[in-house]
Amino acid sequence: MAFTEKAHTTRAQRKRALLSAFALGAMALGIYAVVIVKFFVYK
Amino acid sequence: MSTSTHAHDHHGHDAHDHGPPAGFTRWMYTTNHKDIGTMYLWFACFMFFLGGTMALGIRAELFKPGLQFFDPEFFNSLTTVHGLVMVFGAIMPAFVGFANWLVPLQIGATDMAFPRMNNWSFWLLIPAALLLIGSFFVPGGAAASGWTLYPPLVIQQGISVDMTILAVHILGASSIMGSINIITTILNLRAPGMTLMRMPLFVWTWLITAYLLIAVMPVLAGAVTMLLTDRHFGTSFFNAAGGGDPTMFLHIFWFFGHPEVYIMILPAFGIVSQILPAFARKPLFGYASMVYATASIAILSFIVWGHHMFTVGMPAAGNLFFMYATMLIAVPTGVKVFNWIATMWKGSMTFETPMLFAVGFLCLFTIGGFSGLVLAMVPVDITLHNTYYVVAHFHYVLVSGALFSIIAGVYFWLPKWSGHMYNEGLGKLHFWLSVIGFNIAFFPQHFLGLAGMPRRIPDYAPQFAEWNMWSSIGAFIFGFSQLLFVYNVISTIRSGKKAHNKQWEGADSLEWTHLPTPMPYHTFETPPVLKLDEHGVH
Repeated sequence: MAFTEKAHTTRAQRKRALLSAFALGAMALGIYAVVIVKFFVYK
Repeated sequence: MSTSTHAHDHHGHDAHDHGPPAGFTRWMYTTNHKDIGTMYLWFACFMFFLGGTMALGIRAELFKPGLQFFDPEFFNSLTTVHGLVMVFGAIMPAFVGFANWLVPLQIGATDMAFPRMNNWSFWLLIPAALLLIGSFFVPGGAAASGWTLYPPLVIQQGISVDMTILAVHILGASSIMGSINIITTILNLRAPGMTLMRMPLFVWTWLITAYLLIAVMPVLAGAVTMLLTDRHFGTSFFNAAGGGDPTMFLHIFWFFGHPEVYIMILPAFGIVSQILPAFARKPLFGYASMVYATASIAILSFIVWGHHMFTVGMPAAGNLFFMYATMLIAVPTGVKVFNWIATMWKGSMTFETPMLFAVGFLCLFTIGGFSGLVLAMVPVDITLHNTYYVVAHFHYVLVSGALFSIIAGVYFWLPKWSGHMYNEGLGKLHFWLSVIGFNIAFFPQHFLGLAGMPRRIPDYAPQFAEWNMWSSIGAFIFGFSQLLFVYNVISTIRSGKKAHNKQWEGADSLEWTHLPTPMPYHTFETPPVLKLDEHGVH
């Protein structure tokens, strides 16, 4: 059952899950950006 | 230890349960965590045999001195793609397969938090695998720089390196999405009463592993992006000819690479921590200390990358720091090993196939851990760097560590997954052939390394001939014995005798205590009611 079908989760759970996912995704993209940018500047 | 015990209730699935759609679309469009877990595991199995075939090619070439079958360039391609396929195509996807199957079941959730993203995470693996395999067939042959993709060699090679870089990017994206899904599921979708410190240890190890993946996969992506711009867009990050610094790549790569080692072993710790208590019929000894030890190992993994590059000329203070930090990891790892032993101590143990592989893991992984401590010492490592001692060390960690735990886990959960019991005799034969073949293959490599045989060479001096011959014989025993495993799994799924609801009487996580065998397609659509007693959550 897909989470997004909203059948078995509460609104609060869905909200928290989306927030967690965006935070973690931003963390991954942020680390990637820091690595690239840092070494562009370093070089 | 097969029992006639049947699960005492079947709550956790609805009366209107419906099965999967038929045909290929079931697998193409599935959002079901069990289907996706199954696909991950079969994908890992295919890649394991692909990487294994390359390994047997390597061992066939090294059976005796001289060039037998391959030219040196192709030999280097074999070692490179063998490493990449096994790390990114076999071990990691296998553990993600376990996570997909087990995390929702063990925390009492209906499914993963983002099932559609879960589907995408899996299907991204296919183009990545095709790129890796296809790189053998382009002009110049597959990447031959070793799985570490070190410059300057990797900057000088042909289009296959670009294919490899693209494959690594795709695999990284897949891993990050999978990790986001796992963390979000664990933190948000646990059944009422399933607090963090009541979760099965497998779930804990995957929670920590997923954080590690999100932290280090972007670093690898950054490193290979810079390789790509060095190759095609005129930058010189790592190209000494343009003022760049190849050593910088080593630092960035291993900042990813060492946590990656723990990404491949922490879920193994989780699987073994489920199996040993089940067959010792005792609760896991020191649950809280296991959780803290796992977290400690993960944190320490970020400050030890330099031990992979003691010979590049770091300052003595740097070498000392990385040496002591590496040795420090032995402390939480020791906590785990002693807790597993204490779990078995005075237990009512039986030795079915999953337990045999778990005990095999414990003994052989510990040997790999000890040789890791040997290599952590700077003066010793300077002598042993780039020798077969290192090859022996990491195969004891990754084959008898990670792979044995995967095999143990498949035997342990296959009755629950498929509804059928595997052939125990064949499983035990598989175990003994694997242990014997593995040790014949890899233990002599310690001797070869100590005697000075370098790794990644297709030819060698005659004094290394005898142990290489034994190593090759062992590798072929180990490799072909894995066919027994595949036969056993397939025949179990197709025609194994019916498994009991609770096949292992000592197993106590939710999938064993709250769900029938075989499981319905959708589980825990109503959150399970959990009871807590001195033995944990039921």
